[in-house]
Amino acid sequence: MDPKDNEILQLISSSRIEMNDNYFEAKCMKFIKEQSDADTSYSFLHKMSSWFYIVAIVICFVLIALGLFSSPGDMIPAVLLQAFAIGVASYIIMSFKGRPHIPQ
Amino acid sequence: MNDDAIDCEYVRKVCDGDSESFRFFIAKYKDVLFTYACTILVDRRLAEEAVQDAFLNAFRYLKSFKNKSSFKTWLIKIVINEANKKRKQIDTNIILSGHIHEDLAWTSGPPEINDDAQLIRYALDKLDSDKSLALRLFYLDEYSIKEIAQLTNWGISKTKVTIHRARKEITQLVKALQAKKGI
Repeated sequence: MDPKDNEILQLISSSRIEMNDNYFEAKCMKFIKEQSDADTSYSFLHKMSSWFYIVAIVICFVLIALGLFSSPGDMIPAVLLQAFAIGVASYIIMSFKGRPHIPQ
Repeated sequence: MNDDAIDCEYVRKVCDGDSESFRFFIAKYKDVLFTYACTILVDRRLAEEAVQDAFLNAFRYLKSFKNKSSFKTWLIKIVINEANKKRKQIDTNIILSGHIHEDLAWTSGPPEINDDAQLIRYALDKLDSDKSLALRLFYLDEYSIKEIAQLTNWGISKTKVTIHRARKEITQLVKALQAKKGI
């Protein structure tokens, strides 16, 4: 390559463009902070929903056990219906828990 | 401690919940990302938006950073994608509205050129953005052909051809400008 061409190409190493915006860092950090806060509040809900799910499952089992022990020969349909309803509610909560968080 | 190790240390801090540590990356890489965003978008305001979006995306997906490349390379890849996305939107708007946005073209002639740095920046702006991007990745941040191909999703042969043509065009342009300005 022509040395003159090489010299020109080496000039590209000084072609960095400076932003010259003193507020850019602050602006960016504001959005980062908002995102971080949204993530934290999401994980709080995430933890809460886990507990709610476990409690619902326990109630579900207790209701089934009560139904079985109170009248083992003839299971009360209402108790089973309640247990089923709580099971469905738990499933809905579980699916909500697994949904990815979409930040605004 | 080298640059990559320092970056990894800060990545770990941010992943552990210290979001304030992300400021380090903004301060360190804003000009690097701004250079590539400007190369693709030309307009400074749009480039700044692209850099901001790139930093925000980097923060959101920081846990998916696997150390396969340096953190700087990962950020450059994100900003190139963001800037290309913005350029596609602009191109669509131009087609739909039927006119070119004034900021995207040199409308008032070349600016005052006093030194080689200004001259090369002006020449790079005059080139097609793909060529200017390839030259900056190769000469400014010293990426290899293979790395440029990965960063731009071009493929090895397109990258080689783009760099070859870009070298030819910029040297001719700079020589012409130097002759005109008497630098």
